[in-house]
Amino acid sequence: MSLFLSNISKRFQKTKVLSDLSLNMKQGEIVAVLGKSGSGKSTLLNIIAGFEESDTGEVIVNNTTLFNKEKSLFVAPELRNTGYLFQNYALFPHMNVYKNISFGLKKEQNNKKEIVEELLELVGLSGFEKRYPHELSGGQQQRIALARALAPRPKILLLDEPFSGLDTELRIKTRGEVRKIMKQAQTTAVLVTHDQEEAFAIADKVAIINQGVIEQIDEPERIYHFPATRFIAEFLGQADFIKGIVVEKGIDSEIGLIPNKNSFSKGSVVEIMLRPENIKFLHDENGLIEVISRSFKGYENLYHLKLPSGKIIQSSSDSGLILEPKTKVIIEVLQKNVVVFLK
Amino acid sequence: MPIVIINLYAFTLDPEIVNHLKETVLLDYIFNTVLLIVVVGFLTAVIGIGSAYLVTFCDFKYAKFFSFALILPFAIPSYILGFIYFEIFSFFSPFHRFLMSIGIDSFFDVLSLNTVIIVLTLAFYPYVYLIVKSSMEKNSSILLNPALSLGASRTKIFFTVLMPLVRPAIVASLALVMMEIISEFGTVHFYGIQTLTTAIFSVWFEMGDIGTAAYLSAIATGIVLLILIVDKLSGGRAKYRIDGASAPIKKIKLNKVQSFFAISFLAFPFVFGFFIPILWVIFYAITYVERAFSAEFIWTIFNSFSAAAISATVIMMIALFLAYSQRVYDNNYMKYLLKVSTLGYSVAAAITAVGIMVVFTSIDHFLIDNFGLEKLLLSGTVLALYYGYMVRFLAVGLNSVNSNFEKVGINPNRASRSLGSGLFKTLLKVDLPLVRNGIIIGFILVFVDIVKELPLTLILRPFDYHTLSSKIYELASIELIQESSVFILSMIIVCAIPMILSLKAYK
Repeated sequence: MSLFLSNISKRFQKTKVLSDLSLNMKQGEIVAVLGKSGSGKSTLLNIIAGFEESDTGEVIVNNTTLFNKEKSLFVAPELRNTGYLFQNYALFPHMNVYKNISFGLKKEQNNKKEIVEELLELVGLSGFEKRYPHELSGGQQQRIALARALAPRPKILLLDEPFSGLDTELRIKTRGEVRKIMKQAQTTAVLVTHDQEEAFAIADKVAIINQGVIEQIDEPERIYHFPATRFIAEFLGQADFIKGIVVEKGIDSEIGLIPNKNSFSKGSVVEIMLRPENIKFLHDENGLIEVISRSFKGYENLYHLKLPSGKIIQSSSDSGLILEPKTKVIIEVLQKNVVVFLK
Repeated sequence: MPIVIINLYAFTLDPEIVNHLKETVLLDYIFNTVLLIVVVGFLTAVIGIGSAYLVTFCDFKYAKFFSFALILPFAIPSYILGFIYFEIFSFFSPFHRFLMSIGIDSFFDVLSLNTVIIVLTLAFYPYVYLIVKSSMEKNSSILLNPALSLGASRTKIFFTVLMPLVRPAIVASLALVMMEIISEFGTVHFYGIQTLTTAIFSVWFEMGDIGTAAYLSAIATGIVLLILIVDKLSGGRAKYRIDGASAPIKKIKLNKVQSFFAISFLAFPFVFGFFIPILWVIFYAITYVERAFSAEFIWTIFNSFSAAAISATVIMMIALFLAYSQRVYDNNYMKYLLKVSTLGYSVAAAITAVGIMVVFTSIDHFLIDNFGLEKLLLSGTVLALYYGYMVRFLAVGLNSVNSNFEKVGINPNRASRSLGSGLFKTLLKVDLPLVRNGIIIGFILVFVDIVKELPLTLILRPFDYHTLSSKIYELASIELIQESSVFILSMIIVCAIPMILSLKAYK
């Protein structure tokens, strides 16, 4: 069940929420759309589900066109067969678990009971049929909502910040389970979130949305280490930027010569992205770099280091390595993961 | 629609009559109307805000009792309050004779503007009290606890934090009170105070002069529009949205002297707005019950009940349809339609009624002329009356349904639709059960409003058809107020039962 979006745009009065957005997904793929609040990610889900109408473009699921602006084609949400997992779960409070899960099943289906039982087993809540939503914990409600969304065997599952209502411990546990369940059911899924950890943990691919446009879509590891834009670099994790200039042999900068992997033309001014984990350092009385401060994170120490120019960069190191401020050091840059942007 | 037409009629008026009006009584009408708006508005604000503050933020004996008791005057329509106080304080009343017997001779004239002001204040302050109280309860703790922890004094908090926060509620409730005052007919007419509404009545009933009635209506509508604009400009519709768990605020414990003053302050509206009138009604109802009991009595109750039940049912169905349409097709066109459909509530009832009369009469004449119909189909029938109630009270029902839909949020609806249920099935299986309480409460509110309604009923009721309200008014206007007590008690019971039920449903 593939999903194909092309040239999706949406405007609310004067604000442009999505502009010319396109997305292509394969069967069984889980894509996390990651962006700040107000970046248009929920609108995107609503357009796929049919709760809102795009101003332009096309939505195709599994070779069936659900929306086409030019042909004035709009398939109503109830005919789209998309599952939707809401932020607040939106379980029907007046129905018990069995009724909630079987709500989307067709009248003709005479094996309702088996389907519900199967789904409850899948989400690990067998025997909960008679309970009402208010008798369930947040995590349980969330899994019932998932079972309900999966019951009609949706072509595509949409998840809107599905874990934000859970506390940290439960969130980590649940998202692992949800991924497992979706993979088991081979669901094609789009998840929107503002939490990068969540996106990384659950998705096959992460799409970064900024000001209504997908800036990059890639595997979590690649998107983190090789961000396509400076916005993404700053949005995902810690990053410091130092100036560099392209010379014959590479890129010249305060931290030494860096390979010019992008083949920028000579003389260009660039910015070099440094993630804390790419900077290692050693105590050296003759070093030109100075320790400013250290914050202890438990599994690591995050150091702030001052370069000769006065620029401050961060470095993460072993939680056992303790250096006092004003200690002189020399640094080593793990070149493999250095990303350079044209300024 | 009737409202628009009646205002268009205003332009067809003979300018000579307008000039005559202007030279004679028009200014008096406007002056009286505005005077009532200002004075009663001020007094309801003082009583409403003051009592809401006391029961929300102060701790004293009977605070809980007053919190509930202060709503009760809502059960007694303003005109009934007016009749009762006339009866109690009039020259021939037992009370006055008692005063004379102990040697107090000179006595104030009960038939005065002052009495009207007091009566209307007692009748309308619950609007301010209820709306402001619920706003205070909602907003208070979340913002007041921080303010308290910052060391601000209670007085400072009252003026700098609380007042701005509940200002939208105050403005909105005062706007309601003012519209009620413009619409008010029974009391002002009975006490001989000429306002725009009473003037509309007299030109309509005594002279059958649509043009002048329309002209006066246009002025009244103008005042209402002015109030609505002020309401809008002052951010009356602005909603502060505060999310977060509300921790209960620590109430101020009042000492004995303070408690005494607080209780006296709260006792005034309760005793005079409910307790004394209800005692009076019960006393005379027992005296007159045997004489009043007749087939006509049963019919009157039945008329009131059926008119309220049928109109309220239709109103709630329309309200549900409109609210649900807006829920699923949330666009500007729907918003506009919704606004227009609730206009009837802001315009004085007499205007709506005259407008409907005009429209229905012309439709009837058209039918008679063109289709040879032999009698009036619409005007002067219960249909016109029911339609009038619908125009006037649709807003009440719609509000109740809408606020419930807002509380529920759009997600259950979307969840149902994404699971393959169409709009109708979703309404039936998901949305309707979720807003059931709102519909019940809306129905009860509309029902009670219709039973109490007077001016519209007087204009639109068919010949020889009586509801409780029109019967009470008729008896009062021939000074048989004591005899009307049985009808009054029936009305209060008919209204009070659903009110108590609605309070339970809220909990």
